Amino acid sequence: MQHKVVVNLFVGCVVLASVPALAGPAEDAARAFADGKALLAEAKFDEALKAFVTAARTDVGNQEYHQTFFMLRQVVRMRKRIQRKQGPDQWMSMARALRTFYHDHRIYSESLPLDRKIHEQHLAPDSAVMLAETLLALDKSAEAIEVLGGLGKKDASPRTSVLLGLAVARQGRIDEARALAGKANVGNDAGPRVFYELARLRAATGDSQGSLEALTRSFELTPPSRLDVLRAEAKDCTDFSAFASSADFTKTLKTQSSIEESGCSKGSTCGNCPKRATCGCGKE
Amino acid sequence: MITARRVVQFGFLTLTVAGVFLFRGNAERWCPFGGVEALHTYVTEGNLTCSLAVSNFYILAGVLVMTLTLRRAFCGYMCPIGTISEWLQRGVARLGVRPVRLPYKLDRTLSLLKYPLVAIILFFTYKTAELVFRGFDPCYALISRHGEDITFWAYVVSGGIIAGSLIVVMPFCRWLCPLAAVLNPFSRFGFTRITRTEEACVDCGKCAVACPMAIPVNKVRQVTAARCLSCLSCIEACPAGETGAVSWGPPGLVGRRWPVGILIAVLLFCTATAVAASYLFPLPSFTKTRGRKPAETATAELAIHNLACRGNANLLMYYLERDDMFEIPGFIKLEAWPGPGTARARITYDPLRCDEATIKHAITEPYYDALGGLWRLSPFQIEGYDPLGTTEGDTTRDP
Ligand code: SF4
Repeated sequence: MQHKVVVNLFVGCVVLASVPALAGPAEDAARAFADGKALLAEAKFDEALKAFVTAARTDVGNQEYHQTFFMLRQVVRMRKRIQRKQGPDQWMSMARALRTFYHDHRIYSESLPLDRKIHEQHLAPDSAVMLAETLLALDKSAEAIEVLGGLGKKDASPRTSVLLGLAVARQGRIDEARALAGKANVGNDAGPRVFYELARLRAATGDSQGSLEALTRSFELTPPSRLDVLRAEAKDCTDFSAFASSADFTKTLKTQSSIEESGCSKGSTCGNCPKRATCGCGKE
Repeated sequence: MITARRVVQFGFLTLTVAGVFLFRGNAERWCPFGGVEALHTYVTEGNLTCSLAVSNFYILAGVLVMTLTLRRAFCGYMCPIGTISEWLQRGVARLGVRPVRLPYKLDRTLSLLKYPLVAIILFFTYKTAELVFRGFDPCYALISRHGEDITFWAYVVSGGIIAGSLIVVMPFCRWLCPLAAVLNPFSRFGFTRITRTEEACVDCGKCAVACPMAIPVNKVRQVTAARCLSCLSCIEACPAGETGAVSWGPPGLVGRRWPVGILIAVLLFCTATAVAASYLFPLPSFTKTRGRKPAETATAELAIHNLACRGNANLLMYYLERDDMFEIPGFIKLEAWPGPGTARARITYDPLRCDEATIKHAITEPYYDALGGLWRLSPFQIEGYDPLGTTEGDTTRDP
C-alpha cells in the first residue's frame, strides 16, 4: 500500500515537472506575441517585428503569430518604401494601406501625417473625413472642425455632419452638436461607420438612448467577420463612458450582424468574397 | 447472359456505394454528365467548378466510345440510378405486381421530355458556370452523401423515381435522364445492335414484352432505336434462347452473333482506360494566362496548401497578379490541380524578369485590398518553403 502511494507520488511529480517543460515554448511564444502587441501599440515597429518573429519561430504551428508577423513585416517595408521617390498612384496606394493598418491597430499618431498629406493632395470630402477621424481620435477637435468646416455645402454628407457634430461636442458646444445631430439626416441606407459615429455624437450630447439605438444599427450592418473589431472599439471608446457600465450597453454590445457575409458561389465569383480564403469549398 | 449483366450492375453499384459511403470519395468526379456540364467553362474559361475534375471529361469520353460501340450500355450496366430503378421494378414484379405499359405513342412523347430538360440544364449551367441544378439532382443527393447544397426537391425527385419505378419500368431513364439525351444521338449510330431473324421468329412477342425500354423488337429486323441498353433481355426472352431469332452483334461484319463476354469486356475496357487516363494524363483543371509568352520561359512546380477549389485557385491568381511591392513582373500562366490538402500548381514565368523566390513571396505575403479597404492575409502555404526563413538577420529587408 505504502509502496503504491510512493509510486503514485513519483509519477505525479514526473507529470507535474514535465508540464512546464511541455508548455514552455508555447508560453514563451505567447509572451513574445503579447510583447509585440504592446510594442506595436506604442508604434515601436521594428521592436514589435522582432517580438513577432520570435513568437512565430517559437510556436511554429501558430498561424496567428505567423500572419501577424507577415503583415507587420510588410508594413515595416512599406514605411521605408513610402519615403522613397515614386509615382503619386503608388504613393497613394501605400499611404492608404498604411493608414488602414494604423487605424486597425489604433496607432493614430502614425496615421496623422499620412492623412494630412492625403488631404493636401486630394482636398476631397473623403480625405477630409479620413483626416477628421484621425484628428478626433487624437483629441484634436478644433482642427477637425477646421477641416470639416472647410468643405463646401455640396460636399457635406451625413458622415461629415456627424463628425463635425462630434468635434463640436468635444469643444463643449453641446447645443450646437445636438442641432448637428438632428440635422445629420442619417438614412437607413447609411453605412455601419456612419451609425457608429452617430452613436458617439449622441452619447457626447447626452442622448444615451439614441446612442444605443445607433450603435445597435451599426452592429447590425457590420459583416460578422468585422464585428469583434467594432465591439472592441466601442468598449474602449471614451464617448460611451457615461453608460459603459450599464446593462443596456452590455446588451447592445451583444447585437449580432443582420447582414450575410455573402453566400458561397462555389467558385465563380470568389474574387471578391470575404470568406474565400477560409471557406474551403471543394474540400472533401 | 442476364446473370452476367446483374453481376456487372451489382459490381458498379457496390463500387459507387463503397466509394461514396465507405471511402467517402468525391464520386461526382466520375460522373459523365459532369463532363458535359463542365465542358463549356473549361473551353471558354480554362477552369472547372469546384467539385468537378478533368476525370469527368475522361469518363465522358469513355462513355461516348462505349455508346458508339455498345449503344446505351452505360445506362443498362453501370449507372446506379438505372440499376436501382430496374431492380425496384423487378422486386415488385416478384410480388406479382405487373408493370404498367403505356401506349407506344404516349411513351414516345414522354421520352421527348428529356431534350428540353437537358437544354435548360446546359443553358443555365453554361451561362452561370455553376452547377445550378445540382441541388435538385437525385444522383447527386446519393453520391454527395446529402451534400451541402442539396435541396428538398432532390428528394422529391428521388421519391418520384422510386414511386415511378414501382409502376413503370425505368421511367426516369426513358423519359427524363439528361445524360440519356446526350448519349442518344451517339447511340443511334451504335456499332452493335440487336437483330431479329424473321425466318426463325415464331412471332410470340416475348422479346418486346421483356424490353425495359419498350422497343417493339418483334416488329423490326434490326433494333436501331437509340434507347437500346444492350441489356439482351430480348434475347433471353426468346423461346429459342441464344440460338433463336434474336441475336446481338455487329451486323454484316464479323458475324452478327457475338458472345455477351465481348460486350462486358468492351464496357470494362472503356471504363478502365478512362480511369487510367485521368491518372496518367492529369490535365490542369484550372488554367489562366496573362500577357504574351516570351521567347524563353521557366516554370515553378509548387505544392500549395489550401488550394482546395476553383475559388481558391482564382484567389491564387489574384495573388500572382498583385500590383503592390510583391508584383511578379514576368508572370505568364497558372495551371493548377485544386484539391483537398496540398494541391499542385505550375507557374510559368519569364526568367529574365523574375524568379521562383519572387513568386513564392507573392503567394504568401498579405496584400492590401484597396477596393474593400482591408488587409487580407494569404491563406496559402507552399510546401518546403519557409517564409520566416527570408527574414534571417534583417527582418525588414526587402525581398
Ligand atoms: S431491344 Fe433488347 S437489348 Fe435493347 S433494350 Fe430492349 S431488351 Fe434490351
